[in-house]
Amino acid sequence: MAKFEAPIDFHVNVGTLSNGAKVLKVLRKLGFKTVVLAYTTTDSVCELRSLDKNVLEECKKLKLNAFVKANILSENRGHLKKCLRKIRSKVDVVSISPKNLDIARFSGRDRRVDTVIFTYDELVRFYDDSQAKLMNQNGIALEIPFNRLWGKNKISYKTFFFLKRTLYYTVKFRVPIIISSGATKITEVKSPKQLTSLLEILGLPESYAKLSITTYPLAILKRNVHKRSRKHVQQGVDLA
Amino acid sequence: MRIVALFIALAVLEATYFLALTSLLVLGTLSIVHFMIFSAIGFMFFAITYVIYKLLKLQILMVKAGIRLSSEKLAIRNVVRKPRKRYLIFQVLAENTLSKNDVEKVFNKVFNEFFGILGSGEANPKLVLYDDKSMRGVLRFVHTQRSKVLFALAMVSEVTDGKIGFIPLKITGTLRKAKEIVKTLALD
Repeated sequence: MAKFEAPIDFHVNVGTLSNGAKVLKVLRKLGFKTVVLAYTTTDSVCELRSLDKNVLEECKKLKLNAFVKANILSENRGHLKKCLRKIRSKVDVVSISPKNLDIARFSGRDRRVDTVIFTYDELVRFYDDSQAKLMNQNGIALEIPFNRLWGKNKISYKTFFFLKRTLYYTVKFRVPIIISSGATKITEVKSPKQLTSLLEILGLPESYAKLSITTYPLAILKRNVHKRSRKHVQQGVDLA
Repeated sequence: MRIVALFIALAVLEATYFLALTSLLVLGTLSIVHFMIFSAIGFMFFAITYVIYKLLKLQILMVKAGIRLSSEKLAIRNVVRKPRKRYLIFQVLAENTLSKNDVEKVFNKVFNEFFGILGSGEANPKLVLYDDKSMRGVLRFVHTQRSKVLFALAMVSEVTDGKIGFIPLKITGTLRKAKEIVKTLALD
């Protein structure tokens, strides 16, 4: 029986155990109770990279609740549909990193998608009121990985302008927002308070900012674990 | 707005009442005495309606003024809040060992880059303690600016391309407690 405890780091890219064990240890020490291990898939076969079972065992040792997430990078709608069909039932969470507007809109409309990952470039190019409306209608969350937000070049004031604009659309259209660390190595790990501080310095109250690492990700995990259980038949239809 | 609409509706109703009374008098179905009595009752109702309307308007104005005053009071209370100190215990993660000067330099650079002179003045961050061996330190700041300090710590790894990471471990209210915790707390 999976446990659902907050706070959650919704995107940790640990890869192999040699790199991951230390990262997981630090995450536990910082107070995270649940981690979502992200695996990226880009290949045309749509196969998930083999999951390192040792990493999941390490999570068990550290008493961290671990879930698996597939992060699909796609530029083609057909490929994306194929990936979704294959992957949806294998993982707990499905995220999409859109590379063009068509994929961004499609991921905002498809119910198999749980979160849409927007980094700096995608926030600037694709996240507008139509995208926010679509995501709200289908209950898809906006995910912002902390370490991929600042672009390749020097951090500029524009990042904050676009973040503020993003927050405006998110609050106006009530899109659930999730802040994750996106950590790949130990120096990129962030504490729960550091993650929420991003929203706080943009003007959101603390109570609202906290939802981004507690309530919103938990709701997605609960929904998906229920979907993958044997009791679930269809949306709104469950076996007693 | 609703009160004004209600008042206008009642006024129109009373005007119709007077018009009906006058027409009945003209037609001869109502005597002068009865007309006078009914007119007096009508005037009385109109006066009561007018007084109630004025009172309600006054009350609304008072409530609005009260809200404005309370919000202003809250804003002033935030401004005159006594700046209390908080001590943040943090761990530095880096390939090489960093000295106190290096840590102070990196943090001040990042904090000034993001929040400028005004933000630095408000938060007043200062590295109070730093141990080179364990690479743990204590940072003092003003209690209202917690999110700014935490954000600056998080941005260190982004600015240095992931070479240096600052991880906050605990926030305390006194330096003595912070010193005690520095000795016991460790990531490993």
